[in-house]
Amino acid sequence: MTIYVLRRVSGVVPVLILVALGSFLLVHLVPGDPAMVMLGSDATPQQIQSLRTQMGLDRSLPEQFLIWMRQALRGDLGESFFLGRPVTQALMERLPATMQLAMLSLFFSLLIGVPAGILASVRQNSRWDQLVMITAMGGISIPSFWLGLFLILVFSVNLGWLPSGGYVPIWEEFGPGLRVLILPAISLGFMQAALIARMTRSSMLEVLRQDYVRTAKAKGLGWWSVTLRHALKNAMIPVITTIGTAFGVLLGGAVIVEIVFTYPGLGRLVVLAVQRRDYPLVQGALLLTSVIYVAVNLAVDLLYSVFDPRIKYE
Amino acid sequence: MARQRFVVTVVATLLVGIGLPAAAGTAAAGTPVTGGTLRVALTASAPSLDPHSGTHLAIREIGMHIFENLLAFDSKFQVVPQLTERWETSADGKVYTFHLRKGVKFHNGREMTAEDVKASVDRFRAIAPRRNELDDMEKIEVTGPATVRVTLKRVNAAFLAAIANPICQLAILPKEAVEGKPINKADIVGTGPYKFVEWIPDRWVRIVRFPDYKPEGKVDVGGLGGARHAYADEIRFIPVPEPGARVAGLQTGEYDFADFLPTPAMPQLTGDRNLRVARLGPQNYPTVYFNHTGRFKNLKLRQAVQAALNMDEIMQVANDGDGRVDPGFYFKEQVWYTTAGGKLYNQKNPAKAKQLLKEAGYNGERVVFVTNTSYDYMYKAAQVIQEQLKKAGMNVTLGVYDWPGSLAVRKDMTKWDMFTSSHSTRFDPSANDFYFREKTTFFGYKNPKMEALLDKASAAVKFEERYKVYEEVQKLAYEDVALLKLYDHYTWQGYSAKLQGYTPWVMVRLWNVWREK
Repeated sequence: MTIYVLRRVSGVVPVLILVALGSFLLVHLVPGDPAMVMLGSDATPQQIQSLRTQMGLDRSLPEQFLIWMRQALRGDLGESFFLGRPVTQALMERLPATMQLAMLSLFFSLLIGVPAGILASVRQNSRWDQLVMITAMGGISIPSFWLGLFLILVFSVNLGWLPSGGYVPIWEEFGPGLRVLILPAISLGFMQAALIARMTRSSMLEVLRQDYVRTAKAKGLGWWSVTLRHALKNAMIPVITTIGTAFGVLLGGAVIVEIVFTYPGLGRLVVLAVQRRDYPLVQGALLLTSVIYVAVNLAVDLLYSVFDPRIKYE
Repeated sequence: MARQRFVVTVVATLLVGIGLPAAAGTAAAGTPVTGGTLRVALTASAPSLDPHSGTHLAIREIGMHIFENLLAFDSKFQVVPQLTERWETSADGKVYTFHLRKGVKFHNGREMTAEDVKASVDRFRAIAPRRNELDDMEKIEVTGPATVRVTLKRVNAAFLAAIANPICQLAILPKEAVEGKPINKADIVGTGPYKFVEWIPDRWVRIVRFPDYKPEGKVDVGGLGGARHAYADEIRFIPVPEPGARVAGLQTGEYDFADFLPTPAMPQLTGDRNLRVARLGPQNYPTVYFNHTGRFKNLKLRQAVQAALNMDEIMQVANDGDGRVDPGFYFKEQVWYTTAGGKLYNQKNPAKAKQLLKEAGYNGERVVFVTNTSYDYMYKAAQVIQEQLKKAGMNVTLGVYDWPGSLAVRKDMTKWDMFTSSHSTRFDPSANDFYFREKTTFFGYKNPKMEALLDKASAAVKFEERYKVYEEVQKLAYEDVALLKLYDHYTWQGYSAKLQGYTPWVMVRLWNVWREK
């Protein structure tokens, strides 16, 4: 197991180098100039050139990449052009906000998605099944920003129950921190809940038809035992994959919801960095997102063996 | 006294007209209350808080509360003292002596001296994007602990306006906060009514009342000058880019103030008795520039575009009709307003345009019109213009980028023919000079007659004389079709009914404002 993990982790290095190169080329090939963004549209070419020199953008692209890589290998992702602080610090400031939002969204999506999927599968073709499937279809189709604005209108503006946006670290003030998280977490989690419900249902349906489930039932085991212990545990492998992907998406793809709810997470940081062509910040953020994806994937792979002891990593 | 002060503010603003509130709710009489936190939703995130670093709106809107200049503009766009007590001009108009106010403290507790002024001006002249406005300055010398002398190479009528200009403001910072500091690296220490505390990007900029603040004079003269008092304990500037979120946050009371509210939300907000709305009419005007080095070198071709455009239609689409069709390069509410050359504006004449295209020898060649989606009114305006020019027989392709992308494309003169942008409220007509001077323009315009006019304007110290020259400048810009003004763009602000003393102006002013308990 340890050897497997080490092998996987070492395999990540070339992936990260490729990501670094890809993100570097991508942000530099898009037209735009951070010096122009900083100085404004009325700056003269000479002023822009002198700021470009200060930012180190007067060097050739390969040279810039090598300098950045050399620093990155030492754990230094450079300094943001605009925020006046190191990229790692800027990312670490945002990561907790994004983490707590992603965790709560995932919690909501599991709380709704897994039971709904089980219900739909054990009551296949019933009204419950139809209700779950129609709602899930809605969850996948409704854009999260629309749902976010709708929730703000209902729960903030009309009912006045929850704030329409903002951010309070949950470890500083638990109550207010949780209150600002609820609406964005639901907007984000609804689509993931729908995906998880659909996956749980189809996976459960497959397992419920297996002989061992019929045997379990024939042995006279209770409904709960058959459904949860025998069927659900074996149906979990594809569901865990979905959950893993969902967590990755929640960590990296919450951009629109963060903007709607004025939530200072990683997604908004990246968007602003792209809009300003803050190259070191964009590269650093993409690298961090890739590391998170890789870590989540590894965790998912390791979890397989918990649910299916036949899977062994050596 | 306070009551009188605010009445003066209101009257001054109403006289000028800019920022005339559309609905009820402007500076109310009453005794100011100290305390509380004002939560202010701004549309944009500041790219920096270093006041010398850029012309971005968010830099100055936050910065004006923290920093001060030697001089400032009042509500009538007249230059008034700020950190200066008085100033003298030599007989030949080339030497200015500024006597600084005594006892003005920086937020770090140290008293401001002439050395700080010199260090700030030196840094501004070395790195600020607006430094070309001080090109005529030969030197600045410290002549006493509270006196500086500035010598100009030649008479420059716009010099005092350049010192007072809040767009990339020539803020005075402590010597140690600016000396040797590259762009974006100054320490955020000023002399203003509020002191910088914290900047968490995308979350807020926090400023708190500076207890040792020494206001200039006793009367609020409106604009950026006069007596400024910090009544709130704290102001939080929160970047809220989504317009729907700004509207919702105002309605739920999460923000005390929000700017750039969407026009369609106005019926909903005006009906809310807890809120006040104010129309900033006008705030800026969108523009179209021609690339004078390419296809549009041909005057007839530029005239064809000028003849074809229907500004009423453009304004309707770009800003839901919220604005004013007017030819002035300076707003009707400003002393520099003129309609010179206005006959050529908003001609709505596609037939004339067709004729001019024929005379220009235009044969359906592709015209690349670069616009951006970061400012949706510019993008919408570009779409309407494309259609209007198509009707006149032009083959226009839109090049759509985000704002930085469009600026990067603009740098390469082979890649564009027309370009959209906008002009924010200009505090002095000289602020537009750089568009028309060959040395500084980005769109390749050159006309010796224009250069001569601008030189004349620079040397004309008397208002009447200067006004006449700038009338001629505007007329020539229309005749030359140097660039196109589209329409006066209005925007909306909203604020809590509990906010007292607020006077809408071209920039957000939260000094002399308090929140009722």
